[in-house]
Amino acid sequence: MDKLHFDQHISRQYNEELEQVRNDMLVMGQLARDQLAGSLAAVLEGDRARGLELDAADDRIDEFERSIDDEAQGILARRQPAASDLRLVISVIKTITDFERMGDEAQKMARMAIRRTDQSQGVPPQAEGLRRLGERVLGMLDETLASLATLDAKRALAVCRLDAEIDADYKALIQAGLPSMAEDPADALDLVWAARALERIGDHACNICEYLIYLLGGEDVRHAPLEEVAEAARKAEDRAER
Amino acid sequence: MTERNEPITHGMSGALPDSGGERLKLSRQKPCIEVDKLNLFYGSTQALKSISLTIPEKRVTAFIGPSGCGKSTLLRCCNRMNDLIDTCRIEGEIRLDGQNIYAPTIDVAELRRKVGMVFQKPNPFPKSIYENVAYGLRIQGVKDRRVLDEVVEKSLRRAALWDEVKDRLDANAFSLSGGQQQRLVIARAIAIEPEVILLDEPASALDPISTAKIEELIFELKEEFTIVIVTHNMQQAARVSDFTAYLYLGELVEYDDTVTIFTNPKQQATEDYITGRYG
Amino acid sequence: MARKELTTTSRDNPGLKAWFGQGTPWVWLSGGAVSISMVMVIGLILLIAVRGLAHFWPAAVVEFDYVAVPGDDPVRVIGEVNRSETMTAQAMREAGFAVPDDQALVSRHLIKQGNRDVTGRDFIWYLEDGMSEWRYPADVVQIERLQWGDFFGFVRSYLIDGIAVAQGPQARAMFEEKLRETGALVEQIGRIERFDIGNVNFRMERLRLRQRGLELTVDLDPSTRAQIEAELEAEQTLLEDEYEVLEAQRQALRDEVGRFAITVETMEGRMVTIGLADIVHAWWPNDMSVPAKLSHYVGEFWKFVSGFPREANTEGGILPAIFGTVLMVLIMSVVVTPFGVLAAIYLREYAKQGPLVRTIRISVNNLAGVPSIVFGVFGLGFFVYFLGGTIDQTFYAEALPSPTFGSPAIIWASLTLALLTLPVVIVSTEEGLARIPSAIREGSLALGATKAETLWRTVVPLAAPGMMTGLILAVARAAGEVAPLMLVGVVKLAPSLPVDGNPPFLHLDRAFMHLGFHIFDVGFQSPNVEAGRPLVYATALILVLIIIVLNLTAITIRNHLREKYKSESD
Repeated sequence: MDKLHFDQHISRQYNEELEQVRNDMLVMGQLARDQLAGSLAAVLEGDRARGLELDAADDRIDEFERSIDDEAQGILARRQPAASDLRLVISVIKTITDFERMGDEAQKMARMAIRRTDQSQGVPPQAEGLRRLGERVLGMLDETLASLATLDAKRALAVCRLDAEIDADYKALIQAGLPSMAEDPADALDLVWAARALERIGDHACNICEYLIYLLGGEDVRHAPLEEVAEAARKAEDRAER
Repeated sequence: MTERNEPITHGMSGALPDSGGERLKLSRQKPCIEVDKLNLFYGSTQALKSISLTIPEKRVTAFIGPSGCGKSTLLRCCNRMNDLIDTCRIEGEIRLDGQNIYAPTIDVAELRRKVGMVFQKPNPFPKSIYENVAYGLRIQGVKDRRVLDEVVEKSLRRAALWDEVKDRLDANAFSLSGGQQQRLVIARAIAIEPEVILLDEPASALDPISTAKIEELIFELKEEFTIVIVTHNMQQAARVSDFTAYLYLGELVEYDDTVTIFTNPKQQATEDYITGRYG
Repeated sequence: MARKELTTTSRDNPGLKAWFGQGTPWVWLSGGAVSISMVMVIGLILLIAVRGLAHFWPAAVVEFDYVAVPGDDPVRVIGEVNRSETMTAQAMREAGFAVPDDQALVSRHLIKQGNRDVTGRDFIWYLEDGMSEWRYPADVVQIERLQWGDFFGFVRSYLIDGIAVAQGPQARAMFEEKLRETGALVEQIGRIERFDIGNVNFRMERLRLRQRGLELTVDLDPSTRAQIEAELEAEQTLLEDEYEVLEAQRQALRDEVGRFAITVETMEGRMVTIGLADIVHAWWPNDMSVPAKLSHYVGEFWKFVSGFPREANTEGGILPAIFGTVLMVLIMSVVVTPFGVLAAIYLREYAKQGPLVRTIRISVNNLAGVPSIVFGVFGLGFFVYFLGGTIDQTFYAEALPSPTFGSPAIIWASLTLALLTLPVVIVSTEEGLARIPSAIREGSLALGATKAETLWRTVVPLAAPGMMTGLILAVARAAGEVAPLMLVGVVKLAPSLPVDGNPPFLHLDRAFMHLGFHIFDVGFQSPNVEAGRPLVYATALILVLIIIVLNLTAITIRNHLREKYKSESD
């Protein structure tokens, strides 16, 4: 299960610290995911109350970010982690930044829902497309969390591959929404904002998966072409097999 | 923070920090000592098993590994200190600048002049500070006081000890603190201008400040000398060395540049050791 | 709570078990052992010191009338009270003294009355019962003579060329004054005899050996032989002339001194004439102030330490014995130190540690347990007869059959003792070497020093304190050893010191005197036991002092070395 043997240090305390920081990261990811799901629903259903609730929920994510950063800093200062431990701490620090950004994006959508209901603007145009995109991103996020939890490079790679589809969907959605630009520019702009947020979240998810591949294989695959990512993931997978 | 384990080779403002692509590559280094299929036996026990590695010139190479893994033994092989042990038997070769140091024609004293050594516990001779540093030269028959004075001062300066002892060169070396003694011993070693300096856990008996001074000294000395260090302190190996070899049970498990070893070792055994999973 | 328990244990339960549990008995036991040792050592030294040093103090001379058998005429006795004791009358009667039947205890005094040449006995026991009151006549003189020991009496007249020129107190004054002059002259005669004539004799002996050597040389053409013979002849004539001159000088001095004499009245009232040439020193013990006694004391002590023995060693000084002891110990040290140190270095540093080395080590240690007389026998057989004999045949053939090195000599004594003390030096040096941390050796080797360089520059200086310890033990043992020396070099009376002004200055082939043997000789082999007794103590004291001085010197050197090579481990 635990391919990197984070629970096999001589110091049990160290095991617990690493476990704690990883769990907190996963919880934070789950929070970000829930916030996204809620915000999306709020936007699509024009649910003001839910929007308000989720706007506030972002504070919790920020709180998590700070506390995980603290833990990671403590581990660095006291344990001087090396190799996989070091990579774990680095990826956690990076991952939570991306989670926090996701939260911010979700918060934007929640606020959009509030504003729209306040102005009685109803459901944004292309709601169906937005929902589809949202669900896809949510699915991607679920996969990301799952691969984080299982430390699965293959699944992470799959998430990275999804990113291209998301981008395509996003472009298509924008294209579809463009005609309405003339008749109701505010509505159209909201659509763009919402779609844009979802696309960004997809990118963050992809980043997180890249960190995961780095954590597992030790190879930095940020900004690399997909084939390289795939190669790195394969190697990481091989290593985990041994 | 992520760069703490990397060698401090950058520093120009505006330049990119060292990244993976710009790490020191072993294959691109000029070799100084080449260990070739070295087997070492103490009586019937084999302490080193077919070790092959190349120690690059003017770099710091660290040997790490658990107690009894043979890292000190391997270090001592490099200047034939193991000759002192009667039951010690060696197969294979160690080449210094291409010459096998275990060849029968080699003068061991001459070899040790080229490959100096500093030990775990500071071991100054019970003589004055001056005489300690001048010892190696006196052995070589240097009597000219001017030459000796010059070398003593230069060596003490290089060992960053001059300012602390210049007023009491005639004092007994044991009047120095442990850290100063260790730097004195290093000054003594560099006074005879060796090519290689072997450091056998040079800071394990010292306090953190003295340790930091020794580490800083190592960093400066690698400009001129090839340095091989054995240490139990992995953070120290990570801090001071350019290359790191991990030995376990007499075998060379992994040998690579230090950053790679400490961020992304290839072998699970190495990983387990440096992350504290070994047990 | 714990505190309360502690106090109750010691107060309420003062049983033996608790007392043992505290460990107090061990403190007392070990402390007691130390005190007993200290008391014994200090007591021994005090006894020797008091008995030995008291000898030089000018004791009062008593005069009394003695009636040996009641009814006899009283006899006048003059002398120094040597010691007194109280015995049972029975024992005295058996010894032949007349003791009344009703008396149970008898006190008696040993009186040193000197005048051995007159009475034949100088120490005589007198019973207290026969004595009159003790008197301390101020004009009684004690004269230390070159021969026959001390003389007690009263100076009656002072003679020049056999004619009395003064009587009574005036004679005493003139005698006292003249004695200072003649004393200097006597000393001068002694110097001429000992050094100048000794020197001539020495050269004559060498000349004789050369002549003898010439005779032994076969292949020499007659003309050269004749030439050398002539040369030797000429040299001999020169030496004989020199001898004549010296002899004449000596005779002149003797004649000068011989002119003066005194007549002294003994306790029996006989008048005895003593030439000033025979007198070493004269004093009036009952007429001396405390400073005068002190100065006499110091003078006597100095004469004892710096003088040559006389009268079968019962008189005079012990300089040759001191000199011989110290020289022998020094030669022994010079021999044993390098040998022992080198052997130890080989055993510890070079030899492959194994059964053979272990056997050698055990043998060396056992050597220390061999009785010293065995070493003496070995020394006699190997050094004196074999080595010395070989040397004589090879280098001193002309002196044969009289041996040069083939007889007991200081060199053989030193070598024998060196052999005897070798184990001590080896063991201490080995221990010293073993104590040196291997880090020091490795440090030196790592600087490109060879093993030998490391040894001589680093290890041996560091082990020097250990070697000095060995030497200290060796010196202490050697200086006190007597038995083997009797076989290989020590004599009762050596005619000359092993070092003198004649080349090669150090004569290793000579027999020598030794304090230890001197004690034995004076104490047990002397014809005059009573006279020798205080000298035994005084000599023993000097021997102990010499050993202490030698040891202190070595210890000082060792401490200096320790300070110099001080390291963390010490």
